[in-house]
Amino acid sequence: MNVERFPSMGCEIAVGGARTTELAAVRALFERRDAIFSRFRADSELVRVNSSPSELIVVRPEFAELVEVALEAARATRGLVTPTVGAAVTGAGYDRDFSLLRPDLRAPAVTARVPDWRSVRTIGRLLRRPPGLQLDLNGVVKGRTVDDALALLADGGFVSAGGDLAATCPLEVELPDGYVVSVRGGGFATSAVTRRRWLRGGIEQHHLIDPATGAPSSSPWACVSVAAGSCLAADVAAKAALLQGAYGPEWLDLRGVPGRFVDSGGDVVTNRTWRRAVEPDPSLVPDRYLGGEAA
Amino acid sequence: MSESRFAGVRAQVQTVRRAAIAGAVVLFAALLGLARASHPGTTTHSTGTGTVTPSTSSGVESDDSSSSFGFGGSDVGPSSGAVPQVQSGGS
Repeated sequence: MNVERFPSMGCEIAVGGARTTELAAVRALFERRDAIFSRFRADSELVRVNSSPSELIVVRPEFAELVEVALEAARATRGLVTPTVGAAVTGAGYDRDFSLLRPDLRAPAVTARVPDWRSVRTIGRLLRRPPGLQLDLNGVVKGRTVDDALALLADGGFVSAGGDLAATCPLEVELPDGYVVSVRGGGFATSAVTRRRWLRGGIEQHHLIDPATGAPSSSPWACVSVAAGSCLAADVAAKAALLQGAYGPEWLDLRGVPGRFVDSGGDVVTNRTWRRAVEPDPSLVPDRYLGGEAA
Repeated sequence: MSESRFAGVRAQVQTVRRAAIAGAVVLFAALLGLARASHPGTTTHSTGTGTVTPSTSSGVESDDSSSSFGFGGSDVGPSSGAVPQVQSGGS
């Protein structure tokens, strides 16, 4: 299978199985979504919305649709994966493209409370949110764009954005610690707090904000890998599971979602659904991959 | 038209007027209640005992039972041993 790669959304996009015209359409889709939803492009629609003093704003249909997706993700995760973390992420210091971040001696401007996701509404193209609320749709835009891009491939294949992927064909996927899993279809995503880290006020920061504190999560998990029906669902589930700490594996089990957790010490915990799917015979699995059962 | 018929018509008009005012008051109160109930910062949930308790304002504790977000449908399995084509590095 031919695999083409290009940069977008701050990561590498890999597309497998695309014809030339399909690849062009996939590139255009990623470029358009980045232009609309980037927090770092002064001319993006997200920046326009976040800087507007109005409570009601007319947005393009694509923007309204992705806000709705983000609100649905927030509803499904009890507000853990919420589009209202914009101010908190910026306060932690993530205020420009990651490649441009430098250590900053200023203390992080921790937001005491992330605004309630239910204060954001859409009615058609009309977006309503409290003035000053900073939206960050990063939690859903990349995953949804991967799924939409895969739909552009007439004969199927796969699309990956920084390793968050959707596929209609079998795919061997390597996780950050070298473990390899076979994704035979659907979506797969890894959420990690180890890669995108920076210093603010001498304290290490990362981009996964705990809505309860408004600060980067202090979850014991360094990374969580999840398989789901789509890239969007896998990405949202991985983020939510990571943010829930020790309850993460069971939270995924209750939804029938396989998850693999690696803590900051490198120890691995897999949930029951993962073990059923990926490790059907425990005797064949090295001990270090058989973590304890979640409480 | 006799004096008594005028009095009767006046009474009927008064009755209709009072009913209209009462209806308007009830409608206004209902709309006010709906507006308050739908405001995100003051959403209320009825409990089994009839007590009304406010929800949290952080949104973290809201109920996800009504969500239509589909997590299921994954198809993942053990590695076939082939060379990995993609690295899932972490978003």
